[in-house]
Amino acid sequence: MVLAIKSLREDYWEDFELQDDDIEFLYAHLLETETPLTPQELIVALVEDRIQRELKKIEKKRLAGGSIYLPREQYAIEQKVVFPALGWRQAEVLVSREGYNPDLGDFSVIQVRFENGEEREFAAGLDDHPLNNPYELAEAEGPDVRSILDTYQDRLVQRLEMGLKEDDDFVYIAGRWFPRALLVDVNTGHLNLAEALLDMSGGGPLPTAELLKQVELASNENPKLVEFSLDLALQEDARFDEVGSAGKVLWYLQRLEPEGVRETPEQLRYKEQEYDRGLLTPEMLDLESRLDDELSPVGEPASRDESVAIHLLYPHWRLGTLPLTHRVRPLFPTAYDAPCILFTLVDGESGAKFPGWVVRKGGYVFGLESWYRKRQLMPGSTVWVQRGSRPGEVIVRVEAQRSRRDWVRTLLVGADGGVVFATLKQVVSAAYDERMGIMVPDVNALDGVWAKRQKQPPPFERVVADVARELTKLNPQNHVHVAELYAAVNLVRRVPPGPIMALLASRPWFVHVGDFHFRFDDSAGS
Amino acid sequence: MTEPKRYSLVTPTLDTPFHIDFEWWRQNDHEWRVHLRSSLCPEHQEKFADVLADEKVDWVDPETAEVQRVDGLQNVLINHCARTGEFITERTSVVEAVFRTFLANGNMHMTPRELGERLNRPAQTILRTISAVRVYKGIRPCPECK
Repeated sequence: MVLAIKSLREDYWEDFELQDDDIEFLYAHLLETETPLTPQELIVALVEDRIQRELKKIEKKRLAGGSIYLPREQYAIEQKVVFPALGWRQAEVLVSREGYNPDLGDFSVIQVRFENGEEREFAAGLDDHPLNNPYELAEAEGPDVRSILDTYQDRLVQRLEMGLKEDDDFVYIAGRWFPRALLVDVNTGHLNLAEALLDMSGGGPLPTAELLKQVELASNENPKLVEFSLDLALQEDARFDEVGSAGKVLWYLQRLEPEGVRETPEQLRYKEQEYDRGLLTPEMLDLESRLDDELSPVGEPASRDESVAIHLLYPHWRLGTLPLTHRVRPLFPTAYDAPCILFTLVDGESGAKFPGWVVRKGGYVFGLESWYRKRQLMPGSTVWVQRGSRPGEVIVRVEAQRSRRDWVRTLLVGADGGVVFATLKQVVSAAYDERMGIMVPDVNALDGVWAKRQKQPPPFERVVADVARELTKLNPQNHVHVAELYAAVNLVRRVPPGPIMALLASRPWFVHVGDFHFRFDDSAGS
Repeated sequence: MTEPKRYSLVTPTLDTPFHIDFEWWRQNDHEWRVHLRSSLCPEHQEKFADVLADEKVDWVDPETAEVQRVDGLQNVLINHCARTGEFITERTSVVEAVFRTFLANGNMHMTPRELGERLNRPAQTILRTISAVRVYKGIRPCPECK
């Protein structure tokens, strides 16, 4: 044991890369267990195996001959010596001379030549040196798998996954690895049957075990292996989507998923607007973070127990979606690979449950349209989101209030498709952000505006200027707040706050009058 | 005949690097190694009494036991004596403290500001002392060391 210590030196695991021997071991290990394993399970086995292999190497070198170097010993010319502290390299003694150091007393110096021709000198006959007591070192620094993993697990898992991804002999699904060669054969007939089963259950979701009850695969194999084989076959077939959260495999028929899940709706699509983020002042960056748009590159993740407020932008309100911002992302289920995850939304007031979809690529949560209508929300309404008490459940609630008539900014669409704003008395049933609240009485008319603009999109700058001009008419000071402008521009075009702020900061016709309020100076031309 | 080394006339500041100029020792017929020996701790003054001024000794690596030939006096000063609490004390004069600091760090150049922090003495006092017209123990500015 002692002898292994110096070989597995402190930086051994820092330089860890998956070698051919490791791949061979992992392959054999998975064959032996016949069970798909997570990278975390594999790395434990691999670290143990590496240590055993190092010990064997050392034993082999010991058996290969040569005395183990200890500074207290004397060595003869041509004697073979093995140096544990130098990775068990072997050398031959060339000459010996008297050592000279008044601090150390009498000792010798041997000159040795290593296998690569390198010549170096070492002390001999020196009684006082730590290397003379290797057993003491061993007790202090033994290679313990647990402590290695405590320090290096993330790095080792990352390297292991990188190595396995490059090897076609291994397949990965739902967080587990297995050798491709051992998979149970799943043919088209099996997959067609799976499709029929999912179709009969309205598209899904069904766990693999449920599908396996009907899809007859080789029953004499390890059940976990059969399940893994079906999972992989379903994953590689475009008809099926894996929609379970991390650690849970659930299948859904892709064609029966809601349209808003299969494709990102037009109103949520952002046509990347180039702008200089250097124009944004620290205060603007702070406001951008607070506005918490899923398209903004900023935002601190909420803690898992936190309740987070979201002020609905028009596109999200219209489509029944919630933005998957940096802040709220930790509150929703996630997955290893699945592009969309089916989960349960819970009405915080009534406790009613309904399905929701996390659409990871689109950056939104789908499935709240009916709930928004039921709660009589409007663009700018505040929705509170928090994790449910059960895994995979997320609670949504609003601060309900007795319906009252408020003066609210209202969007009106003209017969020509032009949009104007007016402050009108409207019935409001839930709390909303006063800057971002905008009533849209005629949604169909606004849909027409979006359809028209999709064919002939006006320049971004003109959209912002037009909206700013209209908004400034609503107050005697002719001002507009950045948050008001951001919410209003999103009535007709999906855009995060950054590009709008960059325009406000760089164009002479936007005059900052303080506290994020801007005056629109039409005389400067736009 | 070698031309005497010329020195910069620019007034040193708190950020001017200084070092021990061994050429100064040679020109002034002084043997700096005598001073080096006198800086050793009593234990090593006795042990190294027979070691010649620039004699090499066999230094043994504490981890691998590999042997290297090193300057005996300087090595023991750096690796042992300079690490004792007696090497530089509050009572050690500024000049001696600066000289010993350079001996202990292998004559790596340092500014008065850095010396002040290391020795816990006012940097301005150190500057005034080692930039005086009279050169003490070969401690001189080394503008080219920057």
